Amino acid sequence: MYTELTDLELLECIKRDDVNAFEALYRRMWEKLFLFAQGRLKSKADAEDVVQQVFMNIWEQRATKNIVGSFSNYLFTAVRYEVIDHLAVMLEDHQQRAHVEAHILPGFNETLENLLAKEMDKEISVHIQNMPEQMQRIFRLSREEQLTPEEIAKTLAITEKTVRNQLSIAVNNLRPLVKESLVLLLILHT
Amino acid sequence: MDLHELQQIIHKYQQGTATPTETQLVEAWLLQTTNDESAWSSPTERAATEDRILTKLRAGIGIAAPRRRSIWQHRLLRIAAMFLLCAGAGYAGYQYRYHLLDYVDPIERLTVSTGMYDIKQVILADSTVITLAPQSSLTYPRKYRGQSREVALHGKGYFNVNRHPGQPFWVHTKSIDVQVLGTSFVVNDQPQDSTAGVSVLTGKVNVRHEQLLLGVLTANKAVSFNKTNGTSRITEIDAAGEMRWVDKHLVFETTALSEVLKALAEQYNIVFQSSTNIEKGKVFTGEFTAKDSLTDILDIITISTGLKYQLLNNHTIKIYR
Repeated sequence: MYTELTDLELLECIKRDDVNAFEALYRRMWEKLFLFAQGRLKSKADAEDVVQQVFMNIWEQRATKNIVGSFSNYLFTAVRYEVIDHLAVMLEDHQQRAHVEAHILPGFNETLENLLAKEMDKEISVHIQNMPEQMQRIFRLSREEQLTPEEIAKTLAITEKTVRNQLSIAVNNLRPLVKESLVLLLILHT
Repeated sequence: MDLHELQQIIHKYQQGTATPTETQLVEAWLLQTTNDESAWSSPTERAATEDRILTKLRAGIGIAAPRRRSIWQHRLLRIAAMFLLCAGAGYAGYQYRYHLLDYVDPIERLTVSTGMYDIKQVILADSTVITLAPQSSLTYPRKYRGQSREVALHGKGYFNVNRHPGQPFWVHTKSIDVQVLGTSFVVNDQPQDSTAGVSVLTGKVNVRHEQLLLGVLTANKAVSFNKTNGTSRITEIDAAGEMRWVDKHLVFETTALSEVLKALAEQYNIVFQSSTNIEKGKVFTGEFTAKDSLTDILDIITISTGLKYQLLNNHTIKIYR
């Protein structure tokens, strides 16, 4: 009978201490939460703990908690909170630290790199828009079309030396803006 | 970013004290799309997991669910973790990571500048000693992080770099970049000069403009880089001769006496009682080392300009004919 009830109807039953409704809700939702936690913590045992804690909280707070809006939104907020809480506990455990370092930390660094790249792309494009027209054209050909200074010189019918000079000035202007090594990553072939 | 830093960020995120960048990082990590989101080795494994969690849940509900840990224990661990962070265990990740970390958690950078006539010494965290010529400035990190040591120089400086294997030392100026391991050399890049140069006293030095290698210099070699046309030239030099200014403290070269007194007043925190009438038309040329006392300096200056001086009190000096 419980399979036909909506999430919120199940919650209403749970509020009245209906253990069967609670189990039905668990069977309905557990896998999504488990896979979410496992994808982040890279460990099935820890993902199990997280799912257990999320549902434990629902049961413990059944009388006091009023969920407004979508129940699955609420669950995903809860699982995110539990993942972070669990990660903090893992970081305090001597043996689990090795797991975090090997399997979770790389994902964080990747996320950080992506964020940073996006941020810098934004800053750089603002800066490029403020460059003189010729320099802007040369810089865009170099960075966006990946042309060599020689090819740029041919395309724009100017000397290669001018291209190199303009690129060098452009890079110099960008330098204070972003970390040097990253600029060099973006514009390796100047 | 290493484990300690991750721990710090997670901790701050939980406490609600994370910076906007740190919060953004944690949330982006939570919302990332992971590719192993449907990884059951078999349907049996899935069913077994489902039942195992449910069993634990039932047990938890039955015995009124204890929390995983008591709060004070948790907090003690956190304090311990903070001490660990403060102790700052070194982590040798690769250099790129440190740039990312510098973005999230920048290390404070300090700047030392010299005036028109004085020379200053700066000692860095790695015991590298830098002597700054007049009208120069050096910007350096309070401490080093990662595999490279980097400073920025405006003007002229003598570097005596402490050797740290695997941790190159970089000097960046407006037009050149100098990379060394452990040597002594002078870098000179003044905004008013059309050339920038590096002279080497000992060891081996790589000099670059942008990514272009201008030369690998050894002892008694110098490179001069022309800022207007981008050409460079390597020459033989008497490096010891070029470093003579290094152990000096104050250097004047046909400097107006009024300027000399102003520099001394600044350097020694004193006041001169004098007049433009007395100072007018007088110039002074001379160098002083840190060992010269103020009275030595005043003796030399007044004798060579035909004047006299008198100490009125600890910080006031009268200059007269």
